[in-house]
Amino acid sequence: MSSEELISIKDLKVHFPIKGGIFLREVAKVFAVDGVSLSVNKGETLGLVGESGCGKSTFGKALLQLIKPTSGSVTFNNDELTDLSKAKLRQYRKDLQIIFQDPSESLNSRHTVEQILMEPLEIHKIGDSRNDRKAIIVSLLQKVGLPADSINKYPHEFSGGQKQRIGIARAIALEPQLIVCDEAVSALDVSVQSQILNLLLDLQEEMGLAYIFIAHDLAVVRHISDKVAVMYLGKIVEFTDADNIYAKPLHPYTKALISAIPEPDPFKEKDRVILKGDVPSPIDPPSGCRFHTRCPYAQDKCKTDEPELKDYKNEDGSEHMAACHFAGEF
Amino acid sequence: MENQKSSSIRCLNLDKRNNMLLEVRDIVTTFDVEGKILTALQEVSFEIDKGQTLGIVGESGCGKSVTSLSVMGLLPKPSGNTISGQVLFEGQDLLKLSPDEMGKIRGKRIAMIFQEPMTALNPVYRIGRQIGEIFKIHFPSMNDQEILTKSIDLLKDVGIPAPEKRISEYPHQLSGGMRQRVMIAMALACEPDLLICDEPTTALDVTIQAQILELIKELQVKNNMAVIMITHDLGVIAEFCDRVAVMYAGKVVESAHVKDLYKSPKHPYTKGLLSSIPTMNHPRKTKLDTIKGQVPSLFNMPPYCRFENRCPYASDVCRQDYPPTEAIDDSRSVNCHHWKDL
Repeated sequence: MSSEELISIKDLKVHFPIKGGIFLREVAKVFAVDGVSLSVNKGETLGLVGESGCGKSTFGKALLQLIKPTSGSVTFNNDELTDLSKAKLRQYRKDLQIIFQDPSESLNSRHTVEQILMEPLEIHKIGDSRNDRKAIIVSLLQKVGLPADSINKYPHEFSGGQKQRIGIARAIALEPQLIVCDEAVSALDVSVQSQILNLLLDLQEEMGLAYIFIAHDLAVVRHISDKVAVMYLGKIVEFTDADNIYAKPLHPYTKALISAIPEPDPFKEKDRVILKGDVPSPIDPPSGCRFHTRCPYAQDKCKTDEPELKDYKNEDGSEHMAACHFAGEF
Repeated sequence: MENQKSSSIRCLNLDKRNNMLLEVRDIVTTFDVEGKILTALQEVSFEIDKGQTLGIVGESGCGKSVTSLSVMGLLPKPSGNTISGQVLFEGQDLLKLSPDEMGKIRGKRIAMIFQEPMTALNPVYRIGRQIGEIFKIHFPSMNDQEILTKSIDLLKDVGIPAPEKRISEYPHQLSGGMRQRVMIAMALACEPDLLICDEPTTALDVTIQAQILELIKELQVKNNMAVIMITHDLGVIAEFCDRVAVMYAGKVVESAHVKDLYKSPKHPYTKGLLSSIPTMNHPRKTKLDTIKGQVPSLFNMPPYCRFENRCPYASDVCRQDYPPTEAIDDSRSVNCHHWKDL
């Protein structure tokens, strides 16, 4: 694995305005992503976890410029993406792809598999003739483990797992460098989920892909990721490599998330931290540390001072960022 | 042969009979889809004792939800029908009851929680009215004031903050976790003996899932209630249930105590399922085991073992007839010709 930086995101913010009143003035803002800095190296997988509504998906879309970020920068191969025109951005679309959660909704039900996979090739002028492109499509199908006769079928003729394979084929058609997998396996049954995870790992090895793997299932994220970032209410609260985040979580939120996963092992006695309440609204995030309303260890300081994301270093000296006044003290 | 075997299991269990709450025996449920008869459940049997927790696990389309709807008599009519078998609730066959008689049991003795709290609650009625409805049906003598106090108490029991205020809100004003709590409050209103939970936490985040499961467990102990937990999540089963029935393509393929099942699965499907989930101890970025292929379609179900096309142990005998229910010991049974080879 090379450690060359592929994409670097600095202080990315996405705020959605809420409009109201007769003149539809902005009355409030949803702080969906509120200052996230992360980077992904070539061929590496970054896992992004957090509860629903914490801004994971918005972050994924904003870094691909599918949602225009409010502020911040996204540098891809040393080029700044945020201030590119639509036409210029199109060249980068080749390198940056996305796989969505629900494969039945992200594939056009009136297009055959051939049409679905032909579109990106035509737009980016890959292959000289129709037959050329058809040959590429056949090899794509083979790569993702679909029979060659799928080419003339419609999405409804496939099962959920197979549809997700079509989604993956479309994402790798342009030989991208980075794929954002937005809950790409969440809708699948366990036996199919493992097939898709294996496929993603194979493709990564074969094509040197980097993934940003957004999911709420922490066991799946641990399995596929090299590094893991935990998000809470639009901010990163902890970030380090996948082994350390599960073995030695520093942030109480990470700890609670990990302890909440039901493990398929009836013999294991677990010491469970159950968080009280729900995630607060991102329209009016709590003062100080955003987690203080649910944190079992919260002190007065947490209500007023916002903790910085600081490097606490793992035992081997690698980076371990956490944003908590009392990181690692409980 | 199959009947003989299962009746011998029943004899062994005769002394436990008094404790038995629900016994589902060989139910067959069919759906009429555009003139074609689809068999969604093919002789499904399981049983549950008072106060016990039974998990029913399986992948989508295996018949988990149809099983619960068949027990509750809530199959979509006229297409869905349970054409044979028995659902014995304290010895009484629920399938033979008239709709009125069933109405007295449903909601009062057996209650159910659904996966999607948003669609299971009526969006145009306030929470209070929806909870109150249950009392109006099952306790017509209660007056409005009593119903209101009782409803507020229920909301308090399921951990809803400021229940006096929440009771006059609409479902959309509550978060997913809160809605599921309201569903639980409604299900528990009549202190049922059996609670059927159909994927109660699938739509929720892990932290909220932990809250809800903890709540169900707490209320189960408090009310000495039996729970049937239907889920596809083997983690939830491991942490929550005493016994588990594994379903595949409309059949129960294995049933056992949770610990026995996880320690040594006897059906190749169970074994495949257990090894295909990434766990916290699994080495990272390595290949996961998979179950190749797909569940056969209900339109085209083979007359022999339904797992044959995906099974690594499959042989000629598997293509001859459906494997009978074999008792491994008095608490364990499996439907597989090759269970001894696993």
